[in-house]
Amino acid sequence: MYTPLAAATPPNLTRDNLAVIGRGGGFGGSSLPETLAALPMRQQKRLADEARTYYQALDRAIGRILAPSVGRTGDQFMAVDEVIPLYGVGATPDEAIADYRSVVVEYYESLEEDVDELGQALQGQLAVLRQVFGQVDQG
Amino acid sequence: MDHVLVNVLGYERQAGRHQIYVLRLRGKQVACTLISHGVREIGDDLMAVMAQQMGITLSQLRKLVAGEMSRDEYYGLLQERGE
Repeated sequence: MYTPLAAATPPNLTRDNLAVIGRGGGFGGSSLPETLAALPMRQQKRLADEARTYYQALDRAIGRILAPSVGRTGDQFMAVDEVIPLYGVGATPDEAIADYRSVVVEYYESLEEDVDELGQALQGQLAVLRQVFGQVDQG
Repeated sequence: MDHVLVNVLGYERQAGRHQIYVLRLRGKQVACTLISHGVREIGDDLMAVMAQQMGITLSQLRKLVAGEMSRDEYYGLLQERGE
């Protein structure tokens, strides 16, 4: 059964920031982690809190709609759902879930980019993923 | 697997953290599969999920990898499922 991750380490990337990087927005030649580290501590904490809140909401929505399970495969762990299906792999269950979450985000953005040319099956997958991110946006 | 997807089956590889592969036929995206950032080797469990993403069974994917099934036969299978 999929268990949402406890936010022990503040994530340093948000979807909005990743989107900026994806569009070539950049941060004056610095990487995003470097840029965040150069911000005032209060600003860093606020962004980390926002990212943690977003990730927790995303984990809840993923758990409700995609309900991935985690199991061992060879010497690694794999998180996989039976809805799309999407998967993530890692050396630990937490790493597999983090990889899975990252796959969900990237796969969803990939489908949204090409929404006008999706075949029937991929349209169905996008509809499911829109439910996931719709729930996240509603908090 | 990358070679089979891109060079044999005609999937396009998209840039990103993960390797997402998209198959376009007649102007439509009909299948999408991926190799996640965390993958070190592709075992049976992973191949089974990828086969499902590609719209075929694990044994059919094994035939594709082994060169025992052609691109046209694969496209035919996709058409049979309405893509």
